[in-house]
Amino acid sequence: MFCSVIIPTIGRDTVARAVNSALAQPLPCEAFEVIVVNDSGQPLQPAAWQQSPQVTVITTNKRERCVARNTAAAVAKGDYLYFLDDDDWLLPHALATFQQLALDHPQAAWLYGGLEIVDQAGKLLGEANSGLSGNCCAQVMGGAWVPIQTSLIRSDFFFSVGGYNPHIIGTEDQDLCRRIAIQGDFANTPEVVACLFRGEGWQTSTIYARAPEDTRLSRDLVAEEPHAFKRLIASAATPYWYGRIFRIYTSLALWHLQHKRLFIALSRTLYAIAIFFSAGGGSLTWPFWEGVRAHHVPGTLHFIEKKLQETPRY
Amino acid sequence: MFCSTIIPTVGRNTLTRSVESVLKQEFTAAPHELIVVNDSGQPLSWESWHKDERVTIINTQRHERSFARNSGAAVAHGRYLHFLDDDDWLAPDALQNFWELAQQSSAAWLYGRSQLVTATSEPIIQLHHGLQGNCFLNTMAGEWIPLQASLIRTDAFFVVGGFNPLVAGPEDIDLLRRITLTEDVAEVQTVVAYIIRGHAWSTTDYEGHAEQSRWVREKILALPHAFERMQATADNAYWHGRIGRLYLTSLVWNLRRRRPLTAASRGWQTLRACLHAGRYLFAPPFWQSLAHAYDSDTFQRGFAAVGQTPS
Repeated sequence: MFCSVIIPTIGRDTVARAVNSALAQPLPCEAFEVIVVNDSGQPLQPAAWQQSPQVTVITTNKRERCVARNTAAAVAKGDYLYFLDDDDWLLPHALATFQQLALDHPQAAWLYGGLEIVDQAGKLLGEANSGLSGNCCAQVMGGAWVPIQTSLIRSDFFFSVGGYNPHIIGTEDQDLCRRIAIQGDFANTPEVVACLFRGEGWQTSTIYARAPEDTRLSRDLVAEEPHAFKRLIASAATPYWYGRIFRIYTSLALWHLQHKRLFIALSRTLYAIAIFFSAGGGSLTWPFWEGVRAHHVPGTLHFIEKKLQETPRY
Repeated sequence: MFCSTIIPTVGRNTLTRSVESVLKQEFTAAPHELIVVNDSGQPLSWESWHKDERVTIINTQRHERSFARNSGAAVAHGRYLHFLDDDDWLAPDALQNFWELAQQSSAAWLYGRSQLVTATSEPIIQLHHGLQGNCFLNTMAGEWIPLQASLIRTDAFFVVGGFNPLVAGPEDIDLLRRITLTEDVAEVQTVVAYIIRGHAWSTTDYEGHAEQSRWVREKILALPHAFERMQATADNAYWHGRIGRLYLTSLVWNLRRRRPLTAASRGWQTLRACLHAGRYLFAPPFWQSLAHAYDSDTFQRGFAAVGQTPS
């Protein structure tokens, strides 16, 4: 089977739209399946999509999305895994686009396309596609955004990194992306494949207050991985990305220092110095220091949402 | 619901014995359920227990036991989780004994004695671990409690993130260590599980076991409060020596892997362990413990009880 579409839900009404957008994909039935993980702790409202032979419903017991997604991935039969939130949806040609991308890049661990951000009337509020391909380790570690809603992950890579880390809640998608980027390459298509809903009544179950600490923990776990540093340096092609990973290592050093883990702080500091010198003359250029200075990378949801907040929508 | 028993299976024909030992428990005080995780990649052959309303079957796609067990835990409703292998089985009064223990103890890890048997169900020895309360130091030193004879509080299981799916072989010891880092254990003094002994029968990969075991122990040594939790129960020269040895062997392990700063940090912890030992530093058991690997006497005691010597 080509792909398993996994939709964890907390019982929101929008789950029908998400499931139907997957079922409507013009691919043979045996090419993909849909696994809905009901983590709401309540039975789902009966709906027509539950009768589809392509749909499997699993009921987990309010274990949060990482555990829910890992459970669905364990039962999935697809060679690739696609994780969709219950308030977002796929565009009609998405899986066909991914199938072609998979044929063109069979070795890639992570395939992804473009994202549209829309309101309840379908009005386009923004677009995102970072356009990165190949070894993107420095970029995803440095903060580039590869939305999970637009990504197809090769199943064997997902399991080789242990799936989602249940200790990281809120930024679990980026954490998975970083750990897979250490192991394998990315392939990108300029096609828009999915829609992210940011309309009236939009609610999130993400605990954003935890995000900064979880992000530091995630980056630190990646920095601990063998060969992570080599792969980071190999992918930092410009002074800007050298600057980004220099920033990551120095901020990790400070984080460990705050927690009185002096030896690890020293280790991260030495790596930051190594990055500075690896950049060669680039570390004396403005893009390097721009990378060090910036809180967020251009094209991320932070800037899109900031722009949305500045523009009256209704 | 009191308890969810989770049986991951690779489709062995001993599964029915394991399942029926759970479904035929002499226990009526509270509901319990059984979750069979079929990780064989093939459909299970039909058995009458499939119809039992207490049974849920999940089909995972050959992702090894940690993923299978975590999946079973995710759908479970019980206050406690019990992980049984598909070739082992429960004693008829096991859940009743666990229930009585759970009424008296708030420990996150409840366990009982286990009876080791041969592949033809002939009894070999009983394992009696004798661990109570904070036993983090014992588990880090190398002590082990079989999952089959244990009930784990569900909230404690999820707080530590469940089984580490990157660990295959010592995943049960790894879970035990991570839970005992913050939680206590309590023991019931009866046989609760029957476990088949022998590598030939096992699906465990024992080849990479030692290296994986070291690797997961390294991860736990790096967790906050590990040193303090061990110090809290080190009440004699022998156990102070064991703490010193844990950090000393970690120092060597990290040096061999060219991680000099982590090795230096372990060196500092070794020094701290010696300073905390105080007067015990001058007792021979401290240095004997520091010099030799841990040798659990659980098996020796079991063989001595039946008048045999370990083979």
